[in-house]
Amino acid sequence: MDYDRELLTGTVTVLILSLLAERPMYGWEILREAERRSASAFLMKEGTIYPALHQMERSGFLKAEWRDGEDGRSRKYYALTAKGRRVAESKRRQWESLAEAVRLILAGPARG
Amino acid sequence: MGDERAEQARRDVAQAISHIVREAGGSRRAREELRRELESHFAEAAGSPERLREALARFGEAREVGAALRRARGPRGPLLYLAKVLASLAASLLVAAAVQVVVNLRAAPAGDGLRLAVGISLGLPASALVVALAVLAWELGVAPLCARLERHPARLGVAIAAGLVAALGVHSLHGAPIPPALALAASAVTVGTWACTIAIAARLDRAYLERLGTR
Repeated sequence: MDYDRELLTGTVTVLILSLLAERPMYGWEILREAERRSASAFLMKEGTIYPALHQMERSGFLKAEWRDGEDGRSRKYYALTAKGRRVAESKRRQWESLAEAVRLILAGPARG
Repeated sequence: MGDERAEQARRDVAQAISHIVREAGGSRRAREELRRELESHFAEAAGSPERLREALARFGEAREVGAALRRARGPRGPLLYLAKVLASLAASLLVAAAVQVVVNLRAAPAGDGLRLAVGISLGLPASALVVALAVLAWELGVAPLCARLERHPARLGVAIAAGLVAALGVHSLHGAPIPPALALAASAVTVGTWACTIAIAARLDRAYLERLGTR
């Protein structure tokens, strides 16, 4: 499904922070994980992930390091900093609260 | 024919990466780092020319991605961050100074208006130290010290109680015990100053992140 851009604004940050809260990942891995968990419902333009990662790194939410994989490839892994963990938790709570509020409104008037 | 297609796909990817890196700008080191990261990204799709082309199509327009990366890098970033930290310090010091003035106001003898108690000469620098430490704790993300105490009355109470015990203990050790009421007031002022500083830092953080577009 194609989503309106305004609906997606801010979503990418929340998703990245949530995934990285579980473990450090590299860009391609984050994209594949988001795709897998959403059953391919969420397919972002892949180039958008790197500006988001770099901006969050500059804001102090993430730290990055290159790691050599077992397949001999070098990948740039991103992990949450302490500040990033705090922000991730805050954004997750806000998102869940907002999603529930929207769901209730969209569900219509209460029956009975 | 298959090799030609594979070679063409690799050239297209290399061209896209070069375009993105050029658009993103930055120092030579930053550009090399970005190139390496993008090459690593497309290396994941290197199984066949078709996979490479799909990855390229999914990546988006090189010019747009490069422009977004340039905005993310933003030359104003470090200056904006410094301005944020200085604003946190300035606003918090102002609040702390105002609190110290209020706490140290006394009625002058013989009904001669108001005066400031001698204690302000110690209170002001102490408050400034509390502000500096709180801002440092916030910027470093030291989790327990960044809690928004004003939102958690129980934690606020515990912090003030801990401050009270510390104040009584320190004065006792120096052989200069102070009345518990005074120690409680000092603790409340210190914890209040800390909580205000963290609240100000959090608010300015949000404004800073909105400006950067990461909020």
